[in-house]
Amino acid sequence: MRQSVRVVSFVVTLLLSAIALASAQTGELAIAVATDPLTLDPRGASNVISWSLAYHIADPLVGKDKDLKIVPLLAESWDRPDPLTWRFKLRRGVKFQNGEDVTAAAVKATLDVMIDPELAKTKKIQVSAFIRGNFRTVERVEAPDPYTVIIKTKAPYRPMLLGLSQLGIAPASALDAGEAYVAHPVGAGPYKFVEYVPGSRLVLEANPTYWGAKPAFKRVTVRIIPENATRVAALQTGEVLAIYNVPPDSIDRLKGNKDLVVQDTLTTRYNYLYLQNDRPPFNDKRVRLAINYALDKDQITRVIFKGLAKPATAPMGPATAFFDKSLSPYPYDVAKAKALLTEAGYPNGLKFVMGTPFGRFINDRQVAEAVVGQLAKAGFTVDLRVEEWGTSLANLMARKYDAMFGAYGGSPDPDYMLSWLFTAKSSVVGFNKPEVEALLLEGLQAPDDAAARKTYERIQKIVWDDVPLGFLYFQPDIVAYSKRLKGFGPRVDEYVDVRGARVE
Amino acid sequence: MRSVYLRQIVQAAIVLLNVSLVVFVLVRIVPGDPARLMLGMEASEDAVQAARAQFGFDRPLYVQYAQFVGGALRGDLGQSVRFRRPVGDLLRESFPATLELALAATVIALLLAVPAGIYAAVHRDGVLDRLLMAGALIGQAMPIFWLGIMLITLFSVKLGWLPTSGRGSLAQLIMPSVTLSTYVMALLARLTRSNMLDVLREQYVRTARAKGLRETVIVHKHALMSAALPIVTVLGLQVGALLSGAVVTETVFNWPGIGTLALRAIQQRDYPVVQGVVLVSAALFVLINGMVDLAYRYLDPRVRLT
Repeated sequence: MRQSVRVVSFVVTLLLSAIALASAQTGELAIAVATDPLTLDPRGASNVISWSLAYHIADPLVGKDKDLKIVPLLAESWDRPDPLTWRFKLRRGVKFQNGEDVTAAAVKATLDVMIDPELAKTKKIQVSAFIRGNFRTVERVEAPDPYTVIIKTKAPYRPMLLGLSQLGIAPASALDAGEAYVAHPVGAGPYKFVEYVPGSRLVLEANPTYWGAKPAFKRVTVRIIPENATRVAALQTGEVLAIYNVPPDSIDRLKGNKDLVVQDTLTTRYNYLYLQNDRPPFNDKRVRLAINYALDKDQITRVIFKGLAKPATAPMGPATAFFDKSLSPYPYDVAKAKALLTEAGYPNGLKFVMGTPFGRFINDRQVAEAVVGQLAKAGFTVDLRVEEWGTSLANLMARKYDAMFGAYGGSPDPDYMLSWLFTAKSSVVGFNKPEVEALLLEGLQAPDDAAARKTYERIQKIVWDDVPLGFLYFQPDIVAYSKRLKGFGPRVDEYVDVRGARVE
Repeated sequence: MRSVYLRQIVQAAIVLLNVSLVVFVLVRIVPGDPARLMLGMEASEDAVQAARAQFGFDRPLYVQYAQFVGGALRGDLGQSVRFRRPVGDLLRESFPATLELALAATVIALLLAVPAGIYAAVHRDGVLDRLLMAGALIGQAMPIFWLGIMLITLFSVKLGWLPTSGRGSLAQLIMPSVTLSTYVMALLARLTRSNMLDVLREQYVRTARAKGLRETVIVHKHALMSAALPIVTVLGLQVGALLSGAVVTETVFNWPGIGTLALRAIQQRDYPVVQGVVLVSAALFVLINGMVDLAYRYLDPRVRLT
């Protein structure tokens, strides 16, 4: 009996591995991610998974490599004749996957939808607020000849190239295709859209007419496996060659497998507590400081993240441009936190309500619960409300709670995140400092990166000293993959990216 | 007889109308905004309002409800906010997957549970009876979710026999359907056993024995037929359990059925999809229970007469 079980097991294993090997040799790649894209329309993508998958289908004018350096894609060169003008020369003879030519008219059509809300509305195109934000200063887009695109801005706009790198160019016909384009997106990228089965998989195939290096795989299947244990198992069995969003508690197990690589990187993401700066109790800076001294960042990064996260040392993700390395975290000092609370008029402690999403960020609930425990030691009584993301997001926007656990990521330039959180008009923490707003404008309009660095370092210093948030930690992006997969790894912008991957 | 059918149809219509109202109200009571979830936290309030208007969520609630019901009567369940495709198409794509899973689970449950229940009843208080019933109790109490992960760990990761997840091959159907069947299986085994025990005490069974019929004939022909009645009823009612169990099972095994669709739709506040899934599931539930009633009429002549 036992012998026959062994024989059957051996045969089945042999067959399955033969199938896996065969599919690898015929140029197929399967990977697994944790969440569905919200859309594959590059113009509507509003989160990392959406725009990084769209990035395989539709090339933008320029791209960014894994270190966020700008590289030419559909535009082969560009210049900035004056501070308000960006001029791009398009690569010639490039075609979209539906046979249309990549021309300045297509670029203009894609950008016009981003800058003109009325146009988007009449054409029924959902435009990503995140990507639109990158073009908020654009006045108009011109196409003087089929291979020249000119972008005119109302004011100088420094991060134009990073903004463009997040927007895949759609063919001119997409403007009138309405929702049909969302169901079957087309671009000039290395992989063509084949099918998307919600909750199951996205299938792409090589674009044979791609202008650049030939795609390494005939077919790429991106499986969507939200359940952590199942996703990890799919990698262990070789059903997929790579997985994203590796749960920290499985890292040791995966590292024990000599056929697998586990790799992590710090990103543009950072995690923090939103505090309501314009109403009690957090309108008192001493209370906000007390929070920051009471947070044991080391414990969270060490215990919950197995040392892969790092205590935050500035109010933005470490891979963000102009990140200030000179700042240091608020030390963990319960006595000081208590003293500050007493000084602020709360000698007997302070009670407040804090919200947290669960299932949105890595270990979000565990972190929020750890925070509640840490704050309790300094005299805070926290009423924690754990909510799923839809509810949590609504409450974040309504500024319902005194505090909330959250994170920000995905933006390689600091402007977008800083402008969103620290401009009175859009701030969900009630931040209002004209000085910071003036500096943000200065950074945005700086002629080049070198000139902007000092400005952003000043902004980070001011924000760091003013403690409008409970600064927590930098969250890693962790991927695990087969040793046979080359040219693959985590990216600081958290992109799911197989554009450069190949199997050996 | 015809009035019976008519009454059932009218009742079904009333049930579905109530369901439509309840789901319509419930999805909107839950905090969260489909437009905000699509556009992200950085979107301005203006942009969110515009998206809401495009989806038609800015219209008065009674208008939205009338559109939902009016559309549903014409077979049009509206457009998914997230996938920008007709809800009907999404349901057509995912329902077969769930039906396949639920059907396989039911077959597995019947094939294993009914013989087990019979055996346990006939060999009452024997060792195997005790074991089977203890197993059934554990099966009924075991979280589907946990069982699924354990099966994956054993049969995919350790033994390498079965693929972890996904849908397409027969091998991929095995673990999800076994997982989903456990609850129903446990219930059925216990039910079969207790029914058989009741029936085996009946006078006509004693008569049969007195006639000198063989025990296997008595058990399988005389007793099982009577004991099957409540089993059919319970199986019909378990459609609800199977559909809700499918949500968890499909999540664990990445099975692209309506459970997966419903979960995503709820997370994204995709109102039309949630409404569609609930309405169609309710219709299925009503339909199957109607069929159970009919089966009952067939199996039990006493019901046929009334």
